[in-house]
Amino acid sequence: MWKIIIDSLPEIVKAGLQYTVTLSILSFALGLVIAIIVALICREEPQGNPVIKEIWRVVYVFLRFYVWLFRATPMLVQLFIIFYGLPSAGIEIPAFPAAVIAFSLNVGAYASETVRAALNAVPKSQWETAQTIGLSTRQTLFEIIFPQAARIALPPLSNEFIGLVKDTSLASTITIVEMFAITQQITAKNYEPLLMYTLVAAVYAVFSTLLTLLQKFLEKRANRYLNQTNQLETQK
Amino acid sequence: MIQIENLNKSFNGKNILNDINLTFDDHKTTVILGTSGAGKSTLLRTLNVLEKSDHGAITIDDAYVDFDKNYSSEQIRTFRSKTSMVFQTWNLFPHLSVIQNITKGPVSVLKQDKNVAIATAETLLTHVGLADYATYYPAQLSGGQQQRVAIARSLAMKPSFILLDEPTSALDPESEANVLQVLQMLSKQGQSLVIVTHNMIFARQIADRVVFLDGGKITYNGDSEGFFDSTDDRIQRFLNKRVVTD
Ligand SMILES: Nc1ncnc2c1ncn2[C@@H]1O[C@H](COP(=O)(O)OP(=O)(O)OP(=O)(O)O)[C@@H](O)[C@H]1O
Ligand SMILES: [Mg+2]
Repeated sequence: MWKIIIDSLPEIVKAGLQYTVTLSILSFALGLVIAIIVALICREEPQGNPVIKEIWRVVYVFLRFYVWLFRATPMLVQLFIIFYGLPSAGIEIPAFPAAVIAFSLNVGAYASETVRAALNAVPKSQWETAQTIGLSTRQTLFEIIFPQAARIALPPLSNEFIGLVKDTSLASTITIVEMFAITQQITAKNYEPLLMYTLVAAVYAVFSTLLTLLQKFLEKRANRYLNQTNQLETQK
Repeated sequence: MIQIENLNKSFNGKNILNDINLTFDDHKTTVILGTSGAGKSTLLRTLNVLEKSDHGAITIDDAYVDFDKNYSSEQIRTFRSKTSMVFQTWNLFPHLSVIQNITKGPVSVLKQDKNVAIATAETLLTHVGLADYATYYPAQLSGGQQQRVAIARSLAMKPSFILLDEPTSALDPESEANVLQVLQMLSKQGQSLVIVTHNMIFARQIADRVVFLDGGKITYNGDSEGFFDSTDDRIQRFLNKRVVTD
């Protein structure tokens, strides 16, 4: 048994690093950018210019539709439409980019709600104070609002990221030889399904646990300015 | 000098500021008094264009905004830089240390050199009695300390006027005394101040001038003694009620 584990583990971990990790990080980063843009646009109607208002309304409806669509349908189906479906419409996307597109649009749809809630949780007075000081909208967003919203959004976003790491196993269905696919291939040769699938489960668990630890660390860091006693002790 | 002309503001069809004409002099402390809902905060917020007035114009030094005309965001920024606002609560950025709170504006907006800004901030912190607290975060300070940091941050922007909206009404008596002491000091140094307060004893001590707002109208605008010794019925009632309730 140990021999089988020692033989196959490196291959599984390698596939994990090559595909599971890159897919997760890339998709999550892109998804987060999408989420922030969607959240910022949907947050409030722009003032003034009626033409801009009209454009905003159209964009708003489109974005709400996108969020609804991706939350209302299974990720597996989305993957299949993008990879197997779109070629019939003349759009061919290779497997890896197709997976990244599906995953990041998915993350974008879910995380946009998280980001929106976090932005709304920053008190309005923070905007006003930044304004009275004379900070531009851009400075206010990046230097005042985002840091505070990030602290609030960190736990739910971490959960979404860990969920994504596990969901990347779905990429195996569109020919990407990530951790799960490689395990299937090895199993086909050595006929040890119980052992092999338990092994890959363990590797997923290790990845997720490492991420949970990272999350705890980041949360501690993000909360440090709120934690009175801790701070006072370290300062004295 | 701040000059307010024909300022009108309504919320949902209800007139809150009614044709306000007013000047605030340089190097003087003006206290705005009035019952709750009289429009004091709205007036102060309009001076900083946090509220956009329906009509009227405001001139501060060489900057002005005419609410009946179009104005650019650049114009508003210049206008805003003439005043600095201290609110009742939640003034500070919780994720920034005391020193970062104070230097944020000078560095990001006034484009001051960072070391210069820090040196200035340290001097200001000494003035407000918080020299040892530069590296603290707002959550580690008492309410009164936070307000003194907020005042220091206002000063760092070198505004012509500092506008304070009930800066001590959320504080315990001791913290309040500390903040009021700082304001007294600034007033004596000739810093132009506009203060909204419900503390009549303090108002009497610090005011060079009193503006009394009643239902969105100015019903008194003159020197401090004249107000507190006034025989006007409404002012008498306002003052008497204060004495009883406070
Ligand atoms: N954003 C707003 N929307 C609608 N009504 C508002 C708004 N801000 C203020 N008001 C109304 O305007 C009136 C004046 O409010 P304001 O806050 O200026 O009073 P105030 O004199 O500061 O009172 P207080 O002493 O209680 O602080 C109140 O009736 C209030 O309900
Ligand atoms: Mg008020």
